[in-house]
Amino acid sequence: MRPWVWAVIVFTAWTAVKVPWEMRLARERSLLMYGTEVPMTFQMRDQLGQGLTIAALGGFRGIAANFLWLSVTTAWEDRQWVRLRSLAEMVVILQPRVSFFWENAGWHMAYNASVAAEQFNQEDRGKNNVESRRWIMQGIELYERGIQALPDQHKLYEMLALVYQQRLGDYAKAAHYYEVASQKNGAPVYLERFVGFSLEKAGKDREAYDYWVKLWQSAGEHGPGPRRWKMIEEHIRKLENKLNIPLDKRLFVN
Amino acid sequence: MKGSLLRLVTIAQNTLTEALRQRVLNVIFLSGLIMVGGSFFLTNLTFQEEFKFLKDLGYAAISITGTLVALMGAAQLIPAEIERRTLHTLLSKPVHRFEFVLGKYLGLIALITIMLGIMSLMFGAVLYVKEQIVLAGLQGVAESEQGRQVIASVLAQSRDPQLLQALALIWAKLAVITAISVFFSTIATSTIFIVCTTLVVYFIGHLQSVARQVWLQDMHTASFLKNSFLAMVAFLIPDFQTYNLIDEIIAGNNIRWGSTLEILTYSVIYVGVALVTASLIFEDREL
Repeated sequence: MRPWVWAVIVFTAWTAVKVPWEMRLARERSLLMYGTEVPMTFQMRDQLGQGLTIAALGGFRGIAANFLWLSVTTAWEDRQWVRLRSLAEMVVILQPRVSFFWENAGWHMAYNASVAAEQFNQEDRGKNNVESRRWIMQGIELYERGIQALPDQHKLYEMLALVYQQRLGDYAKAAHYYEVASQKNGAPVYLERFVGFSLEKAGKDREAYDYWVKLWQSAGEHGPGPRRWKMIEEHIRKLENKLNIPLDKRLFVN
Repeated sequence: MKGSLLRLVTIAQNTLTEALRQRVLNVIFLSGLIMVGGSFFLTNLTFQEEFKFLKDLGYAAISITGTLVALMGAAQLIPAEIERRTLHTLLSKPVHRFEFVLGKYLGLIALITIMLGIMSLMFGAVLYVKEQIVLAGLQGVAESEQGRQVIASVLAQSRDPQLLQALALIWAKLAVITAISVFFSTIATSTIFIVCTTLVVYFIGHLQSVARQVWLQDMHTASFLKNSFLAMVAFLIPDFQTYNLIDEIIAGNNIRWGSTLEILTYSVIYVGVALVTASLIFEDREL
């Protein structure tokens, strides 16, 4: 047999394995990059345009996202919030597994854009507040989508809790998200305390008390350190008095 | 067997020496080093996230330089042997044609590995300098809990052991590109033709998954011509998007070594098939 015939046979045998293998690798890649097995190519092209999609497919997704993010920063400086929103959207489509982009895109919406809307027209405060709230909700939406893409990281839960706490005054929801954040790997210790603070702020004294007690009992050692046991003790004592907890059931009698 | 191995090593060594003397390749390499070094200054444009920016730019510089070296290296070295007729002298000795193709490939891979190693070391140094500058700026907050978190985050970004996986993936991608370039250089003598065809494969390779997606989705409704073309792309051309996991690694997301090793295995098999096919075609070629 001629050598080129052998060449065709070798290549044909390889293609029988190649396509199914590549399809499996593509599914895994899609799951890793976008959190879904559905191929993202078409959605990406619709939302990013041809140029950026090709940059992304060509292995320069990170660079495309970085340079777009520079435009986000410029839009922020120019206070062009709608432009910022659409640019940030493109960035998070390009690299949905980069927490930094979600964190800052949400922060721009819920803080910078919403505060700018609050101050937009001094005469019509009602309209300003409606507009401001709209931006806050956009920030929340970004954080929630970010959480779907990065469910194992604490940072976006923490940011979401902050928005509920600082921008909407919804301390119960803030407490919920702080608690979820505190349970994630690598979460800073202060998040544990923020749950208790937020429950107290929400007026849920009984729940706050139970939470502080549970936290106190979760560790044997109560010495100095990042957990700040002294502060936790103060809150338990304060709530024991406020809730009139019977002496025999109190953690601290004196 | 031992004799064949010795001949392979000799051809590979000669290819490496010859490639190191090529001015074009040295200029490309030097440009790559400048790009890697220059990425340090470009990070000043960013607001936060300097490390992601730095790593994205550095790895892109390494990848682009490596791709150009792979393209130019194979396109210049094999046709030159035919043109100068040194190939005839070589093949008049007890050297098989497949040994020549494989030896050339191994020489080029050695060159790419050396260049990748040097550029990676340079990039490591750039990353270290950036890390030290950022840490020096954080000295005031090192005592607080949040300050410690920030420092830990900086160190996690700059000393991420996963960056080695990204380098392995770049190397694998370059190995495949080199194999494709060597394949074309066994059927053509024009350097421009080899560079152009390999570049076409490179670009189509990045869109191969799109072609495969369209082919599988519209298989029953599309015309025979469209189906045949898309199927040919899916069957013949490697899916270069497989290597885009590098982006995830740079972003700091956890990628299992198992996934990287699987992509390395895929690459090695593709390289093997491309070289076997190239050798078989070269066996049949009139010189």
